Amino acid sequence: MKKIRNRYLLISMVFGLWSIVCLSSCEEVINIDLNSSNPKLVVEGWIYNTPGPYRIRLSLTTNYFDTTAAPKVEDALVIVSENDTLIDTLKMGNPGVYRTQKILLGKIGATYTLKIFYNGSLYEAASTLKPIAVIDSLTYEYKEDTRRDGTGYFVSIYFQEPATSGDYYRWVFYKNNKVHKKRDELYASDEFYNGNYIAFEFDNHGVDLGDTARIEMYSIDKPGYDFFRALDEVDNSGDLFDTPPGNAKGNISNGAFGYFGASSKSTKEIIIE
Amino acid sequence: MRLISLLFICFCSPIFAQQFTLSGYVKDSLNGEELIGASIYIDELKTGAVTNVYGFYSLTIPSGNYTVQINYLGYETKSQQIALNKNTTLNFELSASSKKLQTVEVKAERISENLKTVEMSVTQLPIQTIKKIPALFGEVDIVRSISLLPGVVNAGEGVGGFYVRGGSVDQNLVLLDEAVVFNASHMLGFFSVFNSDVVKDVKLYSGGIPAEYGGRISSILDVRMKEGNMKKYSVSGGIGVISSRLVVEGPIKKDKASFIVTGRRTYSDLLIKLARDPEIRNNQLYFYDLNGKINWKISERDRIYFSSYFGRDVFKFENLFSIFWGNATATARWNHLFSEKLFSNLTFVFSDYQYALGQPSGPQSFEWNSKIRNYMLKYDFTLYINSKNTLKYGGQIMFYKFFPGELKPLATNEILNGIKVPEKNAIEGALYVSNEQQIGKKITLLYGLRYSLFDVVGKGRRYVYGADGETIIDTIQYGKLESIKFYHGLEPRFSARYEFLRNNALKISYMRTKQYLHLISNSTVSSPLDIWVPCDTYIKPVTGNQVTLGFFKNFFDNKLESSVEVFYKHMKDVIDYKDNAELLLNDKIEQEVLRGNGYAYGIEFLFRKNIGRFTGWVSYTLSKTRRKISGINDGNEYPATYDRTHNINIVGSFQASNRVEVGATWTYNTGLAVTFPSGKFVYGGNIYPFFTERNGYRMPPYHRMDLSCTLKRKNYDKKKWYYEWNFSIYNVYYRKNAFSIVFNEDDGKPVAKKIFLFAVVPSVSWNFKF
Repeated sequence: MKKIRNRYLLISMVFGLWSIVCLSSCEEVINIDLNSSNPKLVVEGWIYNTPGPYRIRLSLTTNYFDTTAAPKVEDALVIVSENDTLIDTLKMGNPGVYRTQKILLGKIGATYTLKIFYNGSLYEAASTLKPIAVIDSLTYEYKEDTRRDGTGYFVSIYFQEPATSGDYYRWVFYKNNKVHKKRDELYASDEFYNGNYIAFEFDNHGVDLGDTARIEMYSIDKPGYDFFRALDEVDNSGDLFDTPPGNAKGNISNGAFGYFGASSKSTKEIIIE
Repeated sequence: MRLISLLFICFCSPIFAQQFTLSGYVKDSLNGEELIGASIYIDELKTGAVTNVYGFYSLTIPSGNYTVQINYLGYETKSQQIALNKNTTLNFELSASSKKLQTVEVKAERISENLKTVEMSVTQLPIQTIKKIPALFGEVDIVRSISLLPGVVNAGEGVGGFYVRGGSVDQNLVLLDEAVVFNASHMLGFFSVFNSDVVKDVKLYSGGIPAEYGGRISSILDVRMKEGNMKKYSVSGGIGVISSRLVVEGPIKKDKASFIVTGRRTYSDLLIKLARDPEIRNNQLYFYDLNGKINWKISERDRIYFSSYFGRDVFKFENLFSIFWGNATATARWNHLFSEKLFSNLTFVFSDYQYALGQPSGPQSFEWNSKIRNYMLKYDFTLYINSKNTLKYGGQIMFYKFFPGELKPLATNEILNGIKVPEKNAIEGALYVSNEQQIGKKITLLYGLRYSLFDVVGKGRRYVYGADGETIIDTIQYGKLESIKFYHGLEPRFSARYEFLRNNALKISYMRTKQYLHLISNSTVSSPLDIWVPCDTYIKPVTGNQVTLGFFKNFFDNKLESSVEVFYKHMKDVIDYKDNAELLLNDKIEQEVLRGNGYAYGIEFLFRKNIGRFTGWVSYTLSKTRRKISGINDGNEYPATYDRTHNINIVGSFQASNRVEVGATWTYNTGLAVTFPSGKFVYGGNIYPFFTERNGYRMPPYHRMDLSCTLKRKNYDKKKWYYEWNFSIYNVYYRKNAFSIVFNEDDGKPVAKKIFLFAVVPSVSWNFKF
């Protein structure tokens, strides 16, 4: 369920031309003076329908060329509530990581609200936990010299997409319990696929013999889908055949970055043998 | 009543002597091609006329004995004595300036056309001038040459289109024999669709657009094709590094009917075949165009023309992707002279632009199409009332069909559903009238009015949105040709010229223009995947208002022309998109579009020398272009991407000897306005940039020098056939001009990288004619 991206096409065309016209390397690192900006809050947190506790991570933005790690936010008040009835004040464990105390199992259909008081400002977000289709099975196939990821074993996923439209998905591909290819966000809307039996290959995530591949499939809401799409675009933007860069704003109010979501999950594992 | 009698006085200046009409055509003596914009000058009366786009002129003057002088750039001036005592048809044939160097200067006083005409912000580039400009890969390119004119910029190499006085790419009306060309680029924009071998004349209006043109708010690029040699058969062409061209033309019946057929094809894909990497070898990348034209003089008063263009770009990336795109146009015209004073032209045009892309194999194989189609009927009249007044009037009606996009799955066990963004239909119409009036010797006025209308019609379905602009509260179904949304408006146009002292002219112009189509682009600059959409219930037409003031002065017996123009342009209801807008295959595109205003102002200097061994021009433009759209840049105004503050062009050509001609250009542009990150944040363990200001940064300045040298065959004027070698060097001093600047991580460290396209590119081409 790759997105059809014109950028990819156009860029490969330009590259096609380059191979003809460009005799030397056509890329070089340059120095650019960028303005600095005031630090802004960054939020990352999920409520799942699998046992908690759940974590909300808070950090701050930094200047683009800074090489130090993003500062953690340690003095915030973080509150998550379930359907406005169960109210949970989170406790910080590791610096910048806040853990739920009362909300320990997300409920399908419930709406979760996040409130953060930090530095005199209030930041809010809400997300409703939507159900997820169940992964039927995983298969794998050995392929040589693929365009996207060379030679290896490529895993395919099978599941029935529900007839209701407006479902949004996110996948995380684990290779031997580690996220495989971190920057490659996998997400989709059912817009072009609604109600179909889905079979598709993770063609950018080749694994080797003996590896264990685990796919986690998450339901996300529309703002979540927009956020991951925006992350993907922000990551690829910069050339003229792209849209002018837009911010990956997420669903946090008051100008903060990041995303707070409630999600249900379906997992399947396969050993390549 | 007062007004009518006033008008009557205007049109019918008192008749002291009997008035007669001198009319006819001005042609090239060798091939019979009509010359556009040639001037006919009556020395005794200090008055004259200019040939129209069909080479026709008409001049009504008192009876008497006159010296008629005919002038055309690059041709020898002709003088003829006439005794005008009845309506007279007089056709002139001019011969191209002797290819031999002129040793004796013609003493006749030169006509200062730029001072005499009321038009301003207009540049006419005969194809001979364009051919002298050094070209990338030796491929003469009209759009590239246009961007060397004052007030015109481009968005860099490999990027299509041009930008006139702060207007976006879609605000240019590009016409090829009156047919709208919806995308004038080949290979993403490295080349343009106009094959220089078949182009006769190029005229760009960047301000003071006369009332007979409309539909776009910033400029009109009027490209006219050759008619074909009326005198003899001829084959010409060229072989270049990247493409080959062939032209066949000749009379069907001598001096009555002729044809011209041309073809051009690139062989970049053949070069790909030479690549070492077998994966690259499987790719295809080429374009071709075909032009054809027939014209036939049915009688002294009637002439018909059929012309057509067809071009395609093809790109295949192994079996993974394929894409093609291209334009097709057809024009049929009928010139009819009702009398020596009333010239008419009836035009029917068909124009089509489409693209298709797809993944030919695999479970997700698909095909994706999009196109726009346009049918137009147009009737234009020119009434040469007297030597003081020329009245133009006419009308046009167009029918548009928009197919924004359709995605079809190809695999049988598809997991992909088909999707089709519904078609849209629209009717655009216009009526206009304008008069060019001379008051005394020193003042000329051109005033006109255009009324345009646009009716978005069914059949189709439209969403009704709630107050937030996002929630669909209703869906309305419209029947065939039922009006969905109607827009209309008046577009006044006005220009005035005042000549004073000697060789000085002051000009002023105002124009209001309306545009009912928008180009929806998924990228910062134009690409072949852009789609044209009509304005609709929620997307409004764009209105432009522009005022220009100019001072024109000629030096050295009109050998050196100079001008300064100051302009201010306001653009109402321009569009831009929300952050991360989904524009492809979206039937609710109005949800992604934001509306606002823009403005541009600037000053343009031009020095141009058209005569002598050394010709060329120097231009400098200082300008500013801003947009203000709520929802972008926190509602603050921001520069347009192509806001190039400084733009300098130096274009020169020198005829070193009978055989050798050298050319050089240098261009300097302020870097494009771009958005760079203001900071970064970490999400999911990855670093992402964020932005605070739209187009708040600048790319490095763009500058480049090109050289060319043309070597003609020895004693070619005594030989049966002619050939020449053309050598050119693009980017002589190896300026690594940034195509784009991207930000990413190198070993976890954020860096900025500049991507540039061209090193020094030498090329050679060989042109022939027999």
